[in-house]
Amino acid sequence: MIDEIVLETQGLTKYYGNVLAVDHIDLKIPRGCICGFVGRNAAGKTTAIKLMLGLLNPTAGSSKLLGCDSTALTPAIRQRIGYVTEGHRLFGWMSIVELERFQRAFFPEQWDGKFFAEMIEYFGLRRKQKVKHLSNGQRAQVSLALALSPNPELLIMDDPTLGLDAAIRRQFLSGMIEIIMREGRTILFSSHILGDVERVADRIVVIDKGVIRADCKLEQFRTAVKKVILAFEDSVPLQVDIDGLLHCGRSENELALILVGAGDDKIAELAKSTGAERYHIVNMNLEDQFIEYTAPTSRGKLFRWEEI
Amino acid sequence: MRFLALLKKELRECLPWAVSAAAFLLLFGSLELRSRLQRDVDEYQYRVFERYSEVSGYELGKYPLGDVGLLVFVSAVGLGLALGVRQFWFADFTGTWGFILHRSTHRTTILAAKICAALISLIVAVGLILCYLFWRASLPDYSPVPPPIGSLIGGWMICGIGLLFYLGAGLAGLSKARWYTTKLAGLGFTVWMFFTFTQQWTLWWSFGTLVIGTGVLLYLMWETFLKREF
Repeated sequence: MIDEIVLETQGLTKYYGNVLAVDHIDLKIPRGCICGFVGRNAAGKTTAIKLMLGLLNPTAGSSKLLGCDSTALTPAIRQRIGYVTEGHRLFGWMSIVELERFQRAFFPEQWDGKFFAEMIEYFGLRRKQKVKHLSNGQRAQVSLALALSPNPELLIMDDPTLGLDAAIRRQFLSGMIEIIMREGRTILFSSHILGDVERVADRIVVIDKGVIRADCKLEQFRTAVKKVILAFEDSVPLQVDIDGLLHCGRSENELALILVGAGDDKIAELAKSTGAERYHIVNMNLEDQFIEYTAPTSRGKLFRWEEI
Repeated sequence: MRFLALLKKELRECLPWAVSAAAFLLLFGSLELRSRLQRDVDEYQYRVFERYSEVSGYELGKYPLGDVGLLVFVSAVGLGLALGVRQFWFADFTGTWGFILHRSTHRTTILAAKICAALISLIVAVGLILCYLFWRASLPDYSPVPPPIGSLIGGWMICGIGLLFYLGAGLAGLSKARWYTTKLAGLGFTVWMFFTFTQQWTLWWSFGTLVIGTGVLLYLMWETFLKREF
């Protein structure tokens, strides 16, 4: 049961005219996984999510949610999936209580009215407030409460913390943690904010230019991507040869290497073979790692996780 | 329950437009009836005996309800266009398609709720107001001879033209083609059907044209909505 796949894509591809937005995505998200789906602007995150939810038709490939093909999701399957749209687009003329009534009609048996009320209270919102009078952050909170109250098995969120300030983001993430604590719930959320991903996710999927660049446990990504500074007494060598080299920056007597998957022994060996006087491994946070990992490589090709 | 929730939401979104159209028709229709009484009694005396089975929809304005026919046309077409734009263009601008489409119901139910809401709005805001004006015109204090029922039937058919324009606007909204290519083809077809409607010799032929036009647009909208990417 633990290994049951709730979200699966095979060669999922989407072209908009001549523009390739999503390029042969292969993903398998097991039940109970909290997956951070990260990528730069226009990396293909929203398109991939819309393809998974059947809001867009794939040019090639397929995807399945809870065992059902995305292009033919039945109402019964959709009932088990929560979706928070990018920008938290809700009906401005509705009040929070009207929105709840509207949403509840689609989840008659599973709607948890008490939970919804608690979340609204937790976020400090008034139930009679109209959505059009809510700030972006408040709309995000309502959006999350609406998505969580039916107690979905799978929650898909498209950049839910976009445009929120730090305090609201923290509250929002606490709401997310609520569902994480419910057994067997699976979350896929895209984000620009790597701090959020680090806080809640246990798995990371990095998408860049429509291509999945990494799909692994968060901890694995954290330990795999390294920045190494090699210091030389004289001039730095022209070429460095080590597996997993992404970038190589030079200064007068230093080499800064971004490496993926290189062990400490390999790094020590490299330092020795290049004649470096000393070396040290720089501590990077997830954001630094992500930026370095998705920056264009000097080798002129995208690095894929499978290569390590 | 799901359909009712959707219908209620759609009706609420149609409400401002429906109220505006009803207010417009009621106000200017009442004024028209009043002024008509003053100026056209003599002319009206012989027109009322014409054969209404041969009246085309376009000629409605010439008969005892006066220019109310034109007002009905303006209200119905205006409301139809406004609802088509509100339901199918506006959601693109506000980005609410994702929220509305990802729910435990079929797309057909979502579309059916939209069309039903538009139909109800047209019937209530234009059709029922027209009935009220017809009733007013039939009262003895308006004229000694009541208006013929043909003018009311014609008026209802013009409400049908409103539905045609609604479907045309909706279809254009759903089309992802560029505006200078085929995006407005649905509206173009609607306009063409409207002119065909006005060219018919009898109300029955006009009705037939309306049914064909509505059927074609409804089918195209249905197919487009089910297959469209959002």
